[in-house]
Amino acid sequence: MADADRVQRPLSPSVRYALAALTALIFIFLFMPLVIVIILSFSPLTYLAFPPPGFSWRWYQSLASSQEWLHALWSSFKVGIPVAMLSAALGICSALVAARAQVFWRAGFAALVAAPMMVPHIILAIGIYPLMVDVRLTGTFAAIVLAHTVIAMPFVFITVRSSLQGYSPSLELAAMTLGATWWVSFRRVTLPMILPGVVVGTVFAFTASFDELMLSLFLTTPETNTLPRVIWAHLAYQVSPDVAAVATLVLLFSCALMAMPIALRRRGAKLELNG
Amino acid sequence: MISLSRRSLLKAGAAAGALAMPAVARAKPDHIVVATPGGVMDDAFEAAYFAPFKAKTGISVVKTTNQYAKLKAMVDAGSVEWDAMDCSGEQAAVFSQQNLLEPFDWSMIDQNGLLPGTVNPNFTLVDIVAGVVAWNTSRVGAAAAPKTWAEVWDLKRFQGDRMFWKKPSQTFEAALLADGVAPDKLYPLDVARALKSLDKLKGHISWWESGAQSAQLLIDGEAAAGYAWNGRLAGPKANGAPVDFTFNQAMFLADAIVIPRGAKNKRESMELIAVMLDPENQANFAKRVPYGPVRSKAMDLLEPARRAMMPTAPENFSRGTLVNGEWWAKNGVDAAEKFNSWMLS
Amino acid sequence: MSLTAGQTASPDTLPARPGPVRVWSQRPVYVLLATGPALFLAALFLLPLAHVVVKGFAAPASGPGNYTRIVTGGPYLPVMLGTLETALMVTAVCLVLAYPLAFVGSRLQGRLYTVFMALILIPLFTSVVVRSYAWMVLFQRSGPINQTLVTLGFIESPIRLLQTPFAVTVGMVHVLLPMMVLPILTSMRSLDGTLLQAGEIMGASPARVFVRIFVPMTLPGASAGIILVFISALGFFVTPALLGGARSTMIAVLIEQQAVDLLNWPMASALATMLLVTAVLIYMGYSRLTRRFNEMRA
Repeated sequence: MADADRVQRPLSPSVRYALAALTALIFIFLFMPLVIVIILSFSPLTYLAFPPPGFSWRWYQSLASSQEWLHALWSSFKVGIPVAMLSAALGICSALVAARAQVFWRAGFAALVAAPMMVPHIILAIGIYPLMVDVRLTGTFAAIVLAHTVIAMPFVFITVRSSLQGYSPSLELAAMTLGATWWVSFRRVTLPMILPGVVVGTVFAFTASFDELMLSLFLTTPETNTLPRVIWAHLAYQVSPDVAAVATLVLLFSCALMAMPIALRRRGAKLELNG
Repeated sequence: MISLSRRSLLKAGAAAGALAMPAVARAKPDHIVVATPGGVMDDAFEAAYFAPFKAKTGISVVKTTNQYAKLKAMVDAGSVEWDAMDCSGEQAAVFSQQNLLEPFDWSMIDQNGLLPGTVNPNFTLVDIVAGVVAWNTSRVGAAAAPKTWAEVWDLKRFQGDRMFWKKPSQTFEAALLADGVAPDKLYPLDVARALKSLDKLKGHISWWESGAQSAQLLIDGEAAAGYAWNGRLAGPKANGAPVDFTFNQAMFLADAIVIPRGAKNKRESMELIAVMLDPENQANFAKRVPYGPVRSKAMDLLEPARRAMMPTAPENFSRGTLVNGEWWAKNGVDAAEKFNSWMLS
Repeated sequence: MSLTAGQTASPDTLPARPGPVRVWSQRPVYVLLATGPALFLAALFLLPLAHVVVKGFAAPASGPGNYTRIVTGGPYLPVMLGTLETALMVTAVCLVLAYPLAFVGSRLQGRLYTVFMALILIPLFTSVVVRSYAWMVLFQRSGPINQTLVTLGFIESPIRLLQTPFAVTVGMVHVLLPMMVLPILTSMRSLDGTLLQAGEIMGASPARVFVRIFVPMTLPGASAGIILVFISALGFFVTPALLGGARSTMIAVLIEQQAVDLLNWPMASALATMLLVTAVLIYMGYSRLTRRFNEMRA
């Protein structure tokens, strides 16, 4: 989607200000709890009190001496990245079928692929656990990756399907009538069109795995503890600012992740809203 | 000593096992897996119990989260990853009722001077928790501070929300005590009467879901007074948070240790339990978390100030009631249904 | 999305060769594409689910006892209705906030657009449990929100915000908003600007172009957002458990209670089955509705 090709009409000033104000308010809403977490992470107290009565690095110092958190964060990435990739592959396939195939089982298939979102994780965990025992996968990374993919795949499916519905299939048909194979038409025509949807769905899939607790409780071992498990264990007895410090570090990390494309992108900013 | 390779030992063991006694011939594990609640409890378990166990037997303990449903899933699937688990006494009764536990080999453990109720066919209690009348000292003055559940129920006594666990267990007991039921006449619980008593607080209750949340509600003053477990308040109180509590009319609960049915290292788990019930180790645990030892001799090893913080100190223990896990194991489902319906009303 | 519609959309780019033959020959491709996900879900979703659903009929006595218990009384149906109500509310709030936000995002370009995307995505990486505790701090009577309201004179003394449906809704919207914004944003950005231009050339007012062309064209994104948010909201556990009061119990909380505390798996299974059937019915009804709309649009 080349930005320059898009045609935009300037907005009237009142609409512009209203939108800018609303946007600012929504971002304040989105970041308010995160700011609270950051503030609490510098509390000198062992319990939560807001505002904290002073400033201290103690929770970061205690984190630095603990391998547990780093290990858990690493485990969460080792699970989340394959989950996101597997979900993307399966989700794209499913979305193509649900949006394009002219078959009688389309509606049923679409419901099946979306259904894992509708089942509480504890129920899935109870069901998947004996299965993993039967195939001797309990405690392996494969077990948790497969289980997380079940719940993460619908996110890719639903977003990609909406991307496919966003334009008519005439372009693909055109390509194929001109002699392109299905695969070539998919790669050259379809994929570029749905790519934003794929990226968004894949990010959703990753975060679904990144914050999943229940399946992790059933399927990981102490050696493969993921971050939500460690957070859970730390919050079990007392709410202490050490979890806030961990959350702040994860936040910092995700900011760095997000900043990469900004740093890489050389093109200057252009705010058409003011156009 | 005759040198034998581990492999040939194993072979010999397997041969012996095939003949007669598999349990004896099994090689000693280098670690066992114990499911624990996390946080400060884990640190205390590690220091007071698991480290001495390692020193004594050479076996290390790997900790994992004690997700209750996972125990059932593992036993049902015949693939038990844990060798022992810490859970509440009530929960142990539920597991026991569903036949999910290994029977204990009590012959391995000295039973002298254990608190009554500690010894059960398939679980042991290891420490006693008190569910107490608690209040926020900046919201409730010293004069108005509640000493009984009836005083917590008295909305004129002081302003502010009352807080309780968002579960029927222990909330019903408090409601009945507030309504004047004698502690020794609590069980079987009169559920209808408990709900009627709770009706009086309708609209004035802050519910907590997790123990950590209870301390937070009270520290923040979101609730003025109510029910919490003593261990969750002792730390903040010592560190200057505006909270206080009394053992008067306390409800006593227990941490229990169970061995899932089909656990791979039952013998080692029993050895661990023997270590956990050792007076010195019990005292070391109580120095870290203010939950009372079940071994009376452990009490003598504590400083007087620390001993006064223990739910099982005689002067505290005599002022409260033991929660009846058996009753809850039998009636929990019905009680939860009635409680949840009441919540919506 | 019928074949004829596709052809008439751009008739001059299509050569005389008959299309339908080729389209029919695509069927094996779609069967092949469906096989992977279908097998995966059969093994890792349907099989485990069947295992659990069977339990719902197994105890305390074999038969539909748990289902009759759900239907004939107790808290179960009211909680289910309350859950649907909360999910609808959360979805509505998300939609109202997300649509203008996505509109703003769709007009940004270059680095500014990347920053916008980052700001939407960053909150997703913070644990929902941690965020719930942050909301507890914000919402408490001595918390920043109450203090601000008192200082500004909106209220005389701090009011109860925690343990209200309001707190639950806010907490859930915070978690789910990105799932509404991003699908809408992608559909807005893939929109063909020439169509809007055409509308204006035909003499339509900007407002009319927005309502008659822009909004309908972005509906697939909105409908994906609605489904993602609504279905996720139905199964929410942590936020209602920590921020909700007596009446904010949601079905996932009951299911968890039955499964973990009471170890009453048959009842947990029956409740989960009820939730799944309700959600699938809503999903299929909704899909049919949006498909009909898409066809009308085409």
